[in-house]
Amino acid sequence: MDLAKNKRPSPQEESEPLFPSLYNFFSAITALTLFTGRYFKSVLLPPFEFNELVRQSFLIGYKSFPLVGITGFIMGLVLTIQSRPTLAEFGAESWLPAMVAVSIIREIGPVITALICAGKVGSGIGAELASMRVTEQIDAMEVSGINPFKYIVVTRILACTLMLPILVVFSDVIALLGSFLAVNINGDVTFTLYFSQVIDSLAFSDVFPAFVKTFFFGFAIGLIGCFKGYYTDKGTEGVGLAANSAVVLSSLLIFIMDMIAVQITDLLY
Amino acid sequence: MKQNNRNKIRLGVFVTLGVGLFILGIYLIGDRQKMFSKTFTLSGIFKDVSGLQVGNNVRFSGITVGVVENIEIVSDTAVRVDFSIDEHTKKFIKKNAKLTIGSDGLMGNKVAIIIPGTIGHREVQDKDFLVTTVPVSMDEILANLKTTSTNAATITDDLAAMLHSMRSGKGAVGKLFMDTVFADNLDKTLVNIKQGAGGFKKNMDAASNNVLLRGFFKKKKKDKDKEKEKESEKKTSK
Amino acid sequence: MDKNSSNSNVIEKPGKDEPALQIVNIHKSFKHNSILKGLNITLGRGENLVVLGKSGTGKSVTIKCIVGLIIPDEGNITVLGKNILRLKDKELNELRKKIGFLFQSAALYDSMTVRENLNFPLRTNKSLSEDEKEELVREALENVGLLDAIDKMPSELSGGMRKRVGLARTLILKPQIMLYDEPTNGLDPITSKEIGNLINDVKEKYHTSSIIITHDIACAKIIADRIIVLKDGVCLTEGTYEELENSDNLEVRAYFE
Repeated sequence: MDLAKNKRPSPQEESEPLFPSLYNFFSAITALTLFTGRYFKSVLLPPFEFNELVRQSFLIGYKSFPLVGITGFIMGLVLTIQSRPTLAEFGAESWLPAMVAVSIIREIGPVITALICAGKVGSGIGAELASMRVTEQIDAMEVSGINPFKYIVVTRILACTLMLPILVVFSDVIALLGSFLAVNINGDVTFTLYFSQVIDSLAFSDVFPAFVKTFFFGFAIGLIGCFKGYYTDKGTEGVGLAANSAVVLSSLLIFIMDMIAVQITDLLY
Repeated sequence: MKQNNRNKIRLGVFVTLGVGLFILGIYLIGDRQKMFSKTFTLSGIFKDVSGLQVGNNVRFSGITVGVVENIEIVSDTAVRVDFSIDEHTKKFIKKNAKLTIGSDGLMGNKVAIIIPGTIGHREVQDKDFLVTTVPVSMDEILANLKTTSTNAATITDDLAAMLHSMRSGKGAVGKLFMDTVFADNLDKTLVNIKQGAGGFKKNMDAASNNVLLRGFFKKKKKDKDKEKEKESEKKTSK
Repeated sequence: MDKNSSNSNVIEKPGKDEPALQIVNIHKSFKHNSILKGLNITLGRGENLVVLGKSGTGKSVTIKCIVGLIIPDEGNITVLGKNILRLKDKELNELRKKIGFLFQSAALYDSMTVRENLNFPLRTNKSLSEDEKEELVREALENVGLLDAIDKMPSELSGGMRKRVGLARTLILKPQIMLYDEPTNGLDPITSKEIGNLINDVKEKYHTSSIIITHDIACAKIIADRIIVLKDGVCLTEGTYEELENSDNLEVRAYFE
């Protein structure tokens, strides 16, 4: 029924809006809100598409691991090498592991991983759903009496929400390993010393807010990808458009959420 | 179907590893904060904790043995701080150990420090209160520094005033350095002294011719004459 | 939607002579573009009804209205004695299982093999065991002559094969009404003829009532019991193939030349 409900003209559609771009913006916000509401309603009600959730988790989580791992490693390496001169100026080179650990765990790990996933997973979901819409696969599913929203949308958003935090954990750990290597380029630090410095510099207040926000990042990537793909309507051209705007919008949303998360963390701790 | 099952296993391994790493990280950080090992509590009443925070480390002989667990204000002059200390170090901390607050490097975090007690005392018990010593706070150092700098300022002020008055030729030293008239005078004085000395000689000469002193001078002359005579006698005898 | 509820007092008694499907006076417009302007169609039981019309005359919109993919602005649609505009989601899903819909692009699920594609409509059916489902899948594929393609991915199939797999997937639920959206679109004449024969076979074997949307007159000749010609959102004329072939109306004759 979803398409039908969507295509039913609302009274506003009857007359030309005064400010088309503003009108489009707010109607898109409304549509996204309804979409989100529908997701939460569907995710709680049976039937649950468990097998499809596992399949999507595999595709979204496991298959993104190599990319996330490589970026994480380089991130840790580069951040350490770049920070060294500044710290050396203060004679605080021994603080390098602590500083890098805090910035990776709190900020860079979650955000960079989320952005990489927005690019890889978000665009993939956007394009896949858009082409399913264009080739009438979503209609076909609906006609055969299966709720396509549950089968396609809910599983993907849920898989994103659950997989991103795990990817971030891996990315953090690999980035710290990269940082360890970078510290050892100029100095000679044993793994044990490096490791205990990293652990010493971290507190729960660093780890938990960062971990919680990754769930939201994952949710945003899945939600925007599905939303853009599910409601595409411009034929083949719409597929590329959906993929593109899914990446742009979810990246933007990640930054906005990050800003809000920082404010909240600041208030709490 | 086979592929499907293999993927399920891969996903399972992936998720388990991820969650495992996360839990390990949490455990290690918690372990650092002595959250999971056996601990006992010590407390102390401070007048001023100088920015000590919950979660700061506690040091005993320079080793981190626990964390600050709770800080609360008891009265307007007393702050109660509870420490959670590793059970293993209990036997080394004596009843007369003292608590103080220091900092980790000049700009670093605050740390609570347990100063070891003397041998012979019994070891501490759970929930004991230890004596605290007033920590030398950064504020006090700064206050001292301020007095010092105030003094220095006063000194330099005085010095400046002195130099100023010297330059303007006030005071003896100032005159010495700056007053050209004075220098002239000094010059003249010296000339005068010189002249005075010359005058004195004349006076002395005059004095020798004086009536009152003639006897003295005459006697002196006679002695001289006698000697001369003796010498001439010697010459003639030869 | 007020008009629908007032119109829905139309008698919904099920009976043997009752048509399989009845469309009464439906209107639909998108933005300012009016597509359907009071269309009436009745589909008898066991009948193959071909709907002819140029592109953009609302053929696809009509059959999408029948399965509830598009809600008409006005009018009434009665399928197997039930007014689909008044059904709840759950009832609608039940009814949809009795309607087969072959999409223009066959709409095979790209990410699944042919077997999984055919299994998909059966997945909510808990009364069947895995073996029974497998048996049904094989039977459906055999009917369209594509049993060897069972483990292939849709991307490995040709256009005609995709259409046939799509048909097999639709037929696996043994629908009472079949809706074909341009079944021969983009196929060569020989394959078109095969598909046409397949549609006839389906009618014989399962006694389905079908609406076939097409502009392929050769195909229409094979399968049509009755033909409707659409123009500008209304029914221009209707009759058997022979009747329309000899029609005086030039616009109708144009299809047959």
